[in-house]
Amino acid sequence: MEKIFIVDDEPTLQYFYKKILELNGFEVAGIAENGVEAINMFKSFSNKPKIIIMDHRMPEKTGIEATKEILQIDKRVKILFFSADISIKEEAYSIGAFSFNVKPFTINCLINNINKALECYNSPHLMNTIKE
Amino acid sequence: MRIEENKDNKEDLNEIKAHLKQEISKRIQLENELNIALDELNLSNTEYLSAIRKLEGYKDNLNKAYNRAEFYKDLFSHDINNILQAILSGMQLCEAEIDDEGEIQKDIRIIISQVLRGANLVLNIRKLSQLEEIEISLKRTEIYNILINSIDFVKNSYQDKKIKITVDSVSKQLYVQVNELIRDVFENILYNAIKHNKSVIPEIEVKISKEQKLDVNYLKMEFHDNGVGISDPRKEKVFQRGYGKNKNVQGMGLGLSLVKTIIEKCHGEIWIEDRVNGDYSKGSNFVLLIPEVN
Repeated sequence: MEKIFIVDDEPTLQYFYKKILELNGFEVAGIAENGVEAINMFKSFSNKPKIIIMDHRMPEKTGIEATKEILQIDKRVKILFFSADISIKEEAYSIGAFSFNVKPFTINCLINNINKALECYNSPHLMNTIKE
Repeated sequence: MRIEENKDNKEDLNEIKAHLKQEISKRIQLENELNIALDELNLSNTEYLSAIRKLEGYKDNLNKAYNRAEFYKDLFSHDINNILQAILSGMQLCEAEIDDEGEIQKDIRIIISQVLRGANLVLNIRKLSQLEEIEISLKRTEIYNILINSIDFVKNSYQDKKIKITVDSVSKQLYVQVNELIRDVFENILYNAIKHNKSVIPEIEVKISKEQKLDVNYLKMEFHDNGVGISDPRKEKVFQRGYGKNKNVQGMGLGLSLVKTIIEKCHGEIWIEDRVNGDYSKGSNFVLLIPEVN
């Protein structure tokens, strides 16, 4: 079962992400509430998750800043931004995000993005982003 | 002779003295006038400086008010989107968890559609705000494919509804000077035509031709629909912001305001006609004129 790492500071959304992912056959590797926690948890995973669902506006450290550091730890990981802040879309792609979707997004959108990201992770010759 | 010379010299001296007195008097007068003028200038200068300081104060207040508004707008749109996300996720999970196809499912779908409508409104406000603040950059763009993609996108968002959209174009290579937001124009017009439509099968016919007006070459795009139509008094008003406060036009929202703003920023025009001349109830024809480029 593929593992997904959730990074979002909203407890309600953490709950829904977990429920949606588990209903769709994924395992939640962990849930971080801010960018600092995200980096520390990612470092601590012995079996690194392939996918991270990343919010942007969080306490301590933003999603953009956390992404930069996480990709330095493991550049293969696919970071899927799901943010309420559309203004950071271009910056997210410029630092290596796999995809960017603005909230609110549908369950289909979430699952489709994850599946595409897994496809790219497992087949590195495919494109590295799905920027529209 | 010497006495006469002395007498003459004395007269000259007196004349010179008188002349000098006159000159001195004039000079004193001029100096007084100059001092008065200087005093008046200083006063004006003081008033001028005071006015400048006041203006700078107003400018400072304006900047602060603008920054406050921007902050609240940004915070509002971000936080509202998070709230809408929670509602949408919850409703979609309910939709998946509830088996029956009855009233509950119907209510859930209504809630989901309203959430998406709310999200769209937040996005439109943001885009409108940005369009008003900055000069958007226009570039040579092929829009036939953008139109086709927009049509596919709109059709896909109505999975359970049959919609007929056709395109009759003078060419499949259409170049205009626009911004990437042209996609929002097409999608808003198409959504509007479907939303305000009581026909069993909403139909939209897109006709594209070329027109010249005042020596400028335009692309003319007409979106004919079989919707409920727009009466003459409302044809201009639907593009205005704030018009949604009127109960009679509930649902117009900001989409058409955004459309008009984008088209005008591209130096184009937009207006509404009746699909059947003189009978608005048979549907509308949204007409766009967009400057063409070679």
